[in-house]
Amino acid sequence: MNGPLLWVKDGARDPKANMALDEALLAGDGAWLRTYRWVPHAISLGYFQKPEDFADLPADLPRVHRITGGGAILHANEVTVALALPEGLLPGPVADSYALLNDAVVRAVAEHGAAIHRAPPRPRSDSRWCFAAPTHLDLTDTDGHKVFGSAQRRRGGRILWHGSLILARHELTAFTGHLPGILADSLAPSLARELAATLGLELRRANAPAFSRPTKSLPLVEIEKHLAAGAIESAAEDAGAVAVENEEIVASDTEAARPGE
Amino acid sequence: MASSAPSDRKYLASHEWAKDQDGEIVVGITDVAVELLSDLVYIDLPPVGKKVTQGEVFGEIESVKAVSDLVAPVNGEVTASNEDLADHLDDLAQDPFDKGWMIRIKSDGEASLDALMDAAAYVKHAAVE
Repeated sequence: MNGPLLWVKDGARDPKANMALDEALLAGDGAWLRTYRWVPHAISLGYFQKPEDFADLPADLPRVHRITGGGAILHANEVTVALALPEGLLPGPVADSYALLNDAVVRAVAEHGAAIHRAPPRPRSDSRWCFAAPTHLDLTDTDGHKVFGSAQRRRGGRILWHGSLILARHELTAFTGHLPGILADSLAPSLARELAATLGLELRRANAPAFSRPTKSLPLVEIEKHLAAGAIESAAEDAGAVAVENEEIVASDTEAARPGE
Repeated sequence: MASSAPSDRKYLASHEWAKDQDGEIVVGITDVAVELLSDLVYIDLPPVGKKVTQGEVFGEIESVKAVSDLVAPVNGEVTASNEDLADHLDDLAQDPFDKGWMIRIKSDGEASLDALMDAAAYVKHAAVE
């Protein structure tokens, strides 16, 4: 067994802090999983999406760019996962890696008595929203609405996989699926266990990593402030926790600029 | 994964090819890269005049489900960028070694293609992807 998958069972954080943490996990070493939520609720834009295309939405909803691609997501009542690991742990075509990870999500949700499924093949949607039209690499609820969407960034031999599992619909994105009655804090451990088992890695609890360099998403001083404050709303402790480690992640300072920046 | 990598150019482990042509280096990605990424949706290439550095990112490509970096094979300056590619990603998918070229680089001569893989080495490398 390769080892370990370091799991940060995080609470809710500011949108920019969430993106900065994940960017640092991509730039670091080893295999990391972070499960988390968003306060305030926010819209994350895919890497190549333009903020002006979302000018019609309420101004008090913060916008943040993901380092991963795809469409925009309104992060409200959901569990978000960020998995960062060497490409060698997910070899082969990108689509195969989605199938593998999606199956782990299906099993995790099943532990809570809900059934979600792979969506049938269909042409790619031109919608600006990630959850507007499921493809065969997405998961839907029993009504056929997309309930889990994900996207990857591949850089320097590593993969960052972002996934959002919708627990309750937001009025602005009422086209999404949902998983009524399931709590984020109870779902996160199931996701962690199933993803670790799928990857053949030992699951080990870890604290949010310390940073030694700024990420593109947030200056170092801001990241340190967020980490010192901890998650906005601490996640409940999981009885299944096996270990806690502190790891230092060194973020890359050689990233290409996003178009338009 | 099987590659039909031509022997007239060199290769990076990250699946870019580099061909010396009329004193400049033409750069693209291989058939294996296209197959790994599958359905291509967006590409961002550098403008003419942009300096690039060997081993560092010169552009980005997005498939339906992943954004990936494009890595420069040499140091130098971009002398041409295949601007048609963004609107014709099918060219890249169907003919990555010719019509799907991405940029031309005028090398500053400090880093040559000698250190890169030849076609035989790349085919072996790609076989385990």
